[in-house]
Amino acid sequence: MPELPKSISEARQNLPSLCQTAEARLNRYIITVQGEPQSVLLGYKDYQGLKAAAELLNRPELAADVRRGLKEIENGQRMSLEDVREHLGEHAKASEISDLATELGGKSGVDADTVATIMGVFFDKVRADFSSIGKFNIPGLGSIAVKDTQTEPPAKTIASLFGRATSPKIGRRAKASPGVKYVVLEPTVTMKDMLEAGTKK
Amino acid sequence: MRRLYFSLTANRRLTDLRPTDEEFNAIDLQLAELAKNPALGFEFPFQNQPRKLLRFDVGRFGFIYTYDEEEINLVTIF
Repeated sequence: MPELPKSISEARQNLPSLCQTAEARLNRYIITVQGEPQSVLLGYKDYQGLKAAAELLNRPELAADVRRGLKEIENGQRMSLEDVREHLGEHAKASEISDLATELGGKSGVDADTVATIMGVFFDKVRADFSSIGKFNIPGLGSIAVKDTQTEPPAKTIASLFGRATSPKIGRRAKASPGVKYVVLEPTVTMKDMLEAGTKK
Repeated sequence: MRRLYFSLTANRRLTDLRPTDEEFNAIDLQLAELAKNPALGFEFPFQNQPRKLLRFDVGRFGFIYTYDEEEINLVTIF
């Protein structure tokens, strides 16, 4: 990236061509006034690259991530976009369970970790067992219907079991993942009801 | 079109940033564009690193990557 001095009058006369060569050849022009450097003309990509480099210098943790990431790539420790999508889905599910468990734990008086365990097991069971289209009745709970990915989920979803009216996020995630079906609940009682009943006993 | 890979660090950082479904779909689309034209990003110098490092932004996410004729490797995300 050559740095070339230009007087301000020369720069004024040749501005279009200087801009062109700054972008195409990554030239940097030091603009001088009466022989003293005053400003710099550089290409937009060059400027963005300098900003990125400056950001790395100011964030040592980011620079460490870059070094670690490069090493992982060299060692073949990497994931495809589909793997990343799946991992994010699992993580989002875990976060959702955790948030709901905290909320339900607070409302019902049951320890949030216990609620999270129950919910986690239940989610996994539903996902693993109800893999085909159909409707299942669970005594005292309601019915569970599994629908194909082309069908928009109605207002009630799996989250309604846990005391929430809707969970559009679950519907969208299911739609984005081929092979994953919507699980629609038509509950007669909510998990909250069940927990409260359990606490009273 | 180049194949796209995430380093484990890139995957971890993306998870930490918790993209919404809409954001992830936007990332998916933009990375597909990047796979077609990896020079879309801005090259920057990094500690005498021999591999060319570039930065590409999608919304609130900044992607740092390298590429060759066949692959794009996402080094980290911030």
